[in-house]
Amino acid sequence: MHRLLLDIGYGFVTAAILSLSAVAFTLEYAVSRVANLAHGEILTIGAYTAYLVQNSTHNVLLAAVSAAIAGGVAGYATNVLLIERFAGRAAVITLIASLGLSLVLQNILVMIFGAATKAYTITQGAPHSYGPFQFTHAELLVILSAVVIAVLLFLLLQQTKFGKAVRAVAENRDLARASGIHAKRVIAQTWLLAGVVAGFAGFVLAENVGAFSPSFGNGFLLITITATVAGGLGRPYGTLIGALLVGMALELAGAYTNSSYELAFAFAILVLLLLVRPNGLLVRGSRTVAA
Amino acid sequence: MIYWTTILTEACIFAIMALGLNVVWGMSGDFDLGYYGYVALGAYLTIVLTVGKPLPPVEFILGYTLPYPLAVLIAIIVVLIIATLVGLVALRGLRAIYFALTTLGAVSVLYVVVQTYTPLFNGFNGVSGLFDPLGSTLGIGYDKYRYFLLAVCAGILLIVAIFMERLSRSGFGRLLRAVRDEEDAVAAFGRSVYKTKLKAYLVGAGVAGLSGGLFAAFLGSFNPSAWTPAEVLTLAAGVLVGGRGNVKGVILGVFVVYIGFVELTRSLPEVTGHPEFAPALRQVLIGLLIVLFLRFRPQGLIPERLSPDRGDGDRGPGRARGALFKRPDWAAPRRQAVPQGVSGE
Repeated sequence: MHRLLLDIGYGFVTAAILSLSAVAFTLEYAVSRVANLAHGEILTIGAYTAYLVQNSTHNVLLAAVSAAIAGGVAGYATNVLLIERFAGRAAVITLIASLGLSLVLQNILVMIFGAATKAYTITQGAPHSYGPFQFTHAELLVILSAVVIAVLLFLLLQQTKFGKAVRAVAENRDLARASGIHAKRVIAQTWLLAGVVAGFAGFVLAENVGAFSPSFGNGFLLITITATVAGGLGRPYGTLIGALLVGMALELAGAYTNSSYELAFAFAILVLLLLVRPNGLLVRGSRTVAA
Repeated sequence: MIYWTTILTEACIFAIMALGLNVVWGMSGDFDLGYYGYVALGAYLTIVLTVGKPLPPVEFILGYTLPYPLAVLIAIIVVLIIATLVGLVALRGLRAIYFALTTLGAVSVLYVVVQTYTPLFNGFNGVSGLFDPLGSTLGIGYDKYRYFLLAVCAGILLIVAIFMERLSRSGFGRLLRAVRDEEDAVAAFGRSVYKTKLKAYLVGAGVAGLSGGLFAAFLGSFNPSAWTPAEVLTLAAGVLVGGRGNVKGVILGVFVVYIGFVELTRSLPEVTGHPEFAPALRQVLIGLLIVLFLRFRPQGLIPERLSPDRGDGDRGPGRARGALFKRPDWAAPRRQAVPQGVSGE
């Protein structure tokens, strides 16, 4: 029983990281109707930035902030340079283009930093007991930051004019424009926001795993997609819950088998979801997500 | 001379792969991100069915010593069975994004499992030992063998190309393009979109298995560094550059992209102490090629010829009215700088 509780605790850590990455992915999808396969590279860019900044300043907070900024720039640039240029084209075409971008970014990182894995360790601190769970100081911060970001996102989307505009654009871009919303700008800002969250997720993932390489974010992409589909593509709140469920499932499954099969588990969950609840676990009735 | 024989053989094999991908992407309109997984499976199976029992510490399944053609045939059948399973799930719901995501998932998992689970195909070290298949049976010496292999690959490419050309012009080919361009109309005429797409998917996967068998004969060995999930992009670049949905265009595209890139890579600067630099640069160029072609010339160098009464298949916003009778975008007078939707999207 104690072992199970410990694993549930680690599940929270995985779910926290996953929720950051997945909520960014779902925001990108919500406003642009694009499954951005270069999403993993935003995480990777965040990780490299954090690594470089921390090596030169030895300041973890500064590393985290710069990862978020770099991710924001990457997300914004992805939208302006690629996604917007494919506006109005079929979803599959944009999807392939984003895969092309992913290939380009990954290999530019290889050209600059080499393909080798870089070790990235910050002081984790000794594990402490929190109720039935055990977390290190760093793990606790990961969970806390994910919760804080989720709350901030909720407030931003529900309580601000910008959030209202985002929801309007996600619902219907043309209608939003007809109502006087500068859709293009709202979309660009949403990508910036998603990039910030994803860049930070890259930092958190890298320090949690302790190592990263140019293909590191891409390796996290399938799990991110699974969590997003579980919660409903383009639905930020559903995605948070999807991330919690998928993260927990992966951690528990990984705890009792070889953890390198995590990807296989993610895929099994994805297939199961597509067969049983293709619109997401929490979507009721026949409301569908346009694909 | 030997150099060019090798290049041409490999280009022929890639062209066969691309023709298979073209059935799914070019004709029926969905992009199969897992396509290269079927090529890899075909190659792995061909090798483990022909080279005999593995000697420890090498380990892999089967380990038979079947004749090469029979091994390729079995490999194709196994690939088809797996493709049926994947296709049944991936094409369900008929939504393009989910199809792409499911196939991406399938190939990623295959890649991880092949790499991690060594009893399957010897993990990261891969399988090897397929030496000049059919060479000794037919009494072809080592020096002549590479020409023989080129002739075989070119011959099979020709057969596959003729098959594809006929398929494309057949009723099934028309049905496929109808599915691609106006799915709802096909359904309204009482045809099953799902079944049509699944059939096309299986044709593609079968060709992938076949090309995998040839690839195994060409390489002699196969391991995870010979394929990655992103490999499908190189093929996609060939299909895209040549012209989707168009058999001649696809073959031309593969030869242009493949031979062009091989030659280009050879002249790339080597960076001392950084051996990954040149291959990475090559990948960057392939990625850029794909993005730029998708953006500026999605119909490729040789556009698919459309009959005059056909729609442009624009799936962009606002396609609902009159799309059946519109001319393709690139054939229409230039309205604006942005190509808004192209046949087959």
